[in-house]
Amino acid sequence: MRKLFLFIVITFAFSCHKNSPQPTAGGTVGALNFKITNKFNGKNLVLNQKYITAQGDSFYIINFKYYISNIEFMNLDNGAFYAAPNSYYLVDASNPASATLEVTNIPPGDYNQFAFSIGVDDVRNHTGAQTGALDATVNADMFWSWSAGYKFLVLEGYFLSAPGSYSPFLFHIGSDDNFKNLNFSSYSSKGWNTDINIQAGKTSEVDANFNIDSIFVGINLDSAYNDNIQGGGGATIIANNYTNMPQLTNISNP
Amino acid sequence: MRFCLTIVIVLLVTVNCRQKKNHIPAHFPLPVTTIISVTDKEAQLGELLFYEPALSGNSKLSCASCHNPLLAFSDSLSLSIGARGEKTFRNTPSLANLAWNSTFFRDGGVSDLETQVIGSVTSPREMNERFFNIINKLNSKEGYKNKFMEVYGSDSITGQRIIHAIAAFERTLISANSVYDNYLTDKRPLTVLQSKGLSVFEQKCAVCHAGVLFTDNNFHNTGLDTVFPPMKQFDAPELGRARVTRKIEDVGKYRTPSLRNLSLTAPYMHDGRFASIEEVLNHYSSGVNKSCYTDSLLMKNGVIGIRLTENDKRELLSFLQTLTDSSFVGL
Repeated sequence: MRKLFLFIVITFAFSCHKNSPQPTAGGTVGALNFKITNKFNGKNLVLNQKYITAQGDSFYIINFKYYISNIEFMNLDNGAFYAAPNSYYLVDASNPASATLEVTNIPPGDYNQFAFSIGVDDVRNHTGAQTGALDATVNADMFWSWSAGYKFLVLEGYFLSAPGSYSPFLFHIGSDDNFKNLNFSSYSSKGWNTDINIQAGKTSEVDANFNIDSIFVGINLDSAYNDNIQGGGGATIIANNYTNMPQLTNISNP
Repeated sequence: MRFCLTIVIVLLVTVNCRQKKNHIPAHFPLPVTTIISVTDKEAQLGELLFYEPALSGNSKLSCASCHNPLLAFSDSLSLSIGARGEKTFRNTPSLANLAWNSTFFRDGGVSDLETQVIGSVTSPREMNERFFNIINKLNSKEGYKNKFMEVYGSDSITGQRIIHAIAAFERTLISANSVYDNYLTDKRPLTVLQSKGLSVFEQKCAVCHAGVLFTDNNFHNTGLDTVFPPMKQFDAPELGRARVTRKIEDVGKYRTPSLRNLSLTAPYMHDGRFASIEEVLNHYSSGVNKSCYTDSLLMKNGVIGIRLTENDKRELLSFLQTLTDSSFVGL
């Protein structure tokens, strides 16, 4: 009988506890910094600086942010695979520190494929109120509050709409169709020559340029609806365009 | 000794069970989300925040400004006036039995109450405030830090905590004590007119206004309009549910609202276009517009709308009055 009571007391004691954080295995795992540099026309992006798109539109950017998520490491030869849990990062052009994505707890080894996504996967896109980079009370401008869902990429600025006159434009791209998974492998032409080598207790680095020129391919800012793209065909074009934005430039192993 | 221990344990278990009790009305289905007790500290903090004008950009509007408890948490306006003085896009919905809702907002844009709070607080047409500012304002007000400490074990005021507290409070708003509820639970008889109204309701309205919650939790185009904006207008409110789903078949659809406390929540429809229940009944009886989006439930055997005789309407009106829960609005 006493055992039963003890059991009940223990059960209730546990039911009242909040989840305690999982301990991290120190020393047996490695880390990686994924460093992104936003570029336009081969040069580092400067907000509020005038540029010209391939279509000939003169414009400048005042706000540029995007979500990178679901970072994964694979070895296509031996099948090793690591998917970083809860890897959601908001890269904000006005905050240089946000462009270094820190991934921890990676099992040591060589990886010849590196994958990440632009956007937020459909599970987390519709989960509702969340924390971290997905906290919509902090990053309210990356969230359609009337329609729970993240803006995967926000690009806002002004374009020359008439001689001497600039008008605002904005691209807010989200929705599950526009969530894009990207793979980079030493096996593919878009990839690299060295494997990513993760060592216990050390930090490796992958560098990438994100070429914003790609976003504007096929988008004339001056035509109807293109100054305000938040869905539909325009968003599909831009989402396909942003898959061409990342270019891996360097891998530094410890 | 053993006896004392037993008593202590029984007490512990009793208290624990009482705190965990969901207060779900016996004649209701299981809610979608857990409801905490109204006496829970988080719900009490949420209630305080619900009436807190610091949540708005002009520090004058609280949630209760539009969700007035005396009107079953609605207001009497077609469209409410936000903190910037602009009209909202939608008629303020009444709040009751929210833990049974699987979607929120008239077009079902969000699927949890916490996110709904974010939407209404940050929308420029509604409360027009940033959480960053709210946190600053609450930090400088007397008492809030202590209250957050009591509930969350640290006095840090965060956006996450604010939205969770308000949502917890909103889920405690349960309306289940109307004349109709008493008829269901205690077999307290309805009047003859009310009973007749109930049978008209069951035949003609209950497909959408289903069950004790009086909603199918679904979306319908009820033939209010015939002209809609093009889908290319991404966030045009008149697209209704299609604004959320981007599907052409959802154009002009809105969530079936519950009819509980209907007599207190005028005006009606997503844009508050009808001032009285009579006008709503007239719409369904003879005012439904046919467009390619109008719900097929409203077109049977080549007849558009739900034909109601004057007697039907009189009986329905009588029945719909039985859904008013006077204890819910403190009458």
